[in-house]
Amino acid sequence: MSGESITVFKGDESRLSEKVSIAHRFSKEFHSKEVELVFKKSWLVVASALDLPHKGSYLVTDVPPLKASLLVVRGEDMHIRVFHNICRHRGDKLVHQGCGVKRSFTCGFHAWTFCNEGKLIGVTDRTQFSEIDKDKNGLLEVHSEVWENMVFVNFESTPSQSLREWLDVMHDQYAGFSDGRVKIADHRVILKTNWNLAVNAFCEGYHNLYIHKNTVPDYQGGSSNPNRHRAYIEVQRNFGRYSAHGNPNHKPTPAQGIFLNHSRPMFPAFTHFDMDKLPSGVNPSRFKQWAFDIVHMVPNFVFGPQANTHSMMWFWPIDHETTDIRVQRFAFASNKPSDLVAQAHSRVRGREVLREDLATLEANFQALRSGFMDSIFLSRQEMLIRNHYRAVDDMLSKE
Amino acid sequence: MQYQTVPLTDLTRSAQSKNLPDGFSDLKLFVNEWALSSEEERFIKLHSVDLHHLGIFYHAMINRIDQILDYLDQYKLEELPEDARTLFYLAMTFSETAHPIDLKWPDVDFTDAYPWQAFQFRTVSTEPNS
Repeated sequence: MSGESITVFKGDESRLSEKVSIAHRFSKEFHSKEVELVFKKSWLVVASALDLPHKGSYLVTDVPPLKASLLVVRGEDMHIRVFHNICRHRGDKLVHQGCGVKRSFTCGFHAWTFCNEGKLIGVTDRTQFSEIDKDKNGLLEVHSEVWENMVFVNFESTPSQSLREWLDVMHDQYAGFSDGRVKIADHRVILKTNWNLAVNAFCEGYHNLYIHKNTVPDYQGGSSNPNRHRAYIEVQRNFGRYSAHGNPNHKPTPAQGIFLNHSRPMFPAFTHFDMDKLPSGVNPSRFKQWAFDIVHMVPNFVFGPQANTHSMMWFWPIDHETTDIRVQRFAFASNKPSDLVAQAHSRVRGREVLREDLATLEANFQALRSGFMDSIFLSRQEMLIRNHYRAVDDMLSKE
Repeated sequence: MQYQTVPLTDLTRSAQSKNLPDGFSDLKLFVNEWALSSEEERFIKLHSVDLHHLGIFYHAMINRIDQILDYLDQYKLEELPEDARTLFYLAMTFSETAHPIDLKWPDVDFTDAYPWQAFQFRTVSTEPNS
């Protein structure tokens, strides 16, 4: 029994390979193609709308592979828009601070002003310019759409697919899953590794038996599933997702056990979830001892829905050998002090688990970039990684 | 990179009071060191002490945390009186530094972890008046 898989597989497994050629992916030239054909042609998540609750809420973020700084802002009309963070006068960076709430943005260089819907509303010393059409010189807008509190952008001049087409069957399966939540953690680490290896490490559960001994020794699987096979794995054109099996005999640590008595169960405890309230995309197979899902959205974004919390993770290439990893965690908004104390426990355990994951990534890259081994093996439990390379290679082939 | 690193705070105000509510005065000796208002401060604190030093705080708190949470939950987060807010920060620091002892690590950190110094902390949105 113990050698058998509990995994339910779903989706399009055509052209997925157990062996994937890897060594050629680490050159500067190859990465330039990834930027042009993958990152400039995909819908990319850049922010959480949960960070933009009010009229005028804004944040500045960047998209490292495109060297783009973005201003993400909720206008007076409550719509979220994404602009290049560039003043239309001489191209200074318009907003230098990370986030806040503003009706308008004034450039520090010569004080041109733009409203929070992007329109140019103020040109200083205007008589010294011959002609500036304010209507035509608002901030440069990037195509964006908000889906389940995730802000997506697309850098194509005209997106070849709508976000609905891009998300395909996922689009209607997550309604409201993140509603009522707030960000409880926001971490960033820059690693000397290739972005493909980084995102791959967060798309399989094969490693957790070996890598996460120090932080979450018994959170998944249990005696009926000693190899911790995924309960569910699905691969589709632009995404892959899996459900993890929570260990029903997980023993909370002393402090964790006390927090569990005061608040909702959160990572790494997976008990007493009311699945009826979850939208159909979360725990798609309605696995009874469900822990959490991992959803990889091609190319570089992963989100992890859980019943009472979720994470968002980005693996941005700065270049072919440097990756900017951002991890945000969310939980239900609460003004009950013990909820915050319990959420803090969960975010810290997640942070320490992340430190175990990160520890593999630089050595993995160093070993592979030597080029002496061309291919890697991917088991059926690593199907999302097979899917990643199929999706990326399909895009790269459309030169 | 142009990323802005902003101190991560759980509340807009940091611990103003050195006092604790009645019934918790035995924990007063920990206030200066451990009543910390952000995840980043708690993370740095954890990595600046040894396991023995951490253990003194942990063992004092593990016996009281149940009562502390019951006490704090009389109030809404944004209405915590100053002394209760200080107690809240003690509880938050306990929550975020309990794992080395809870998980029986031989030290405050463990081998094979990515260096803690590499972490950058950014804003969170749990400010009650945000």
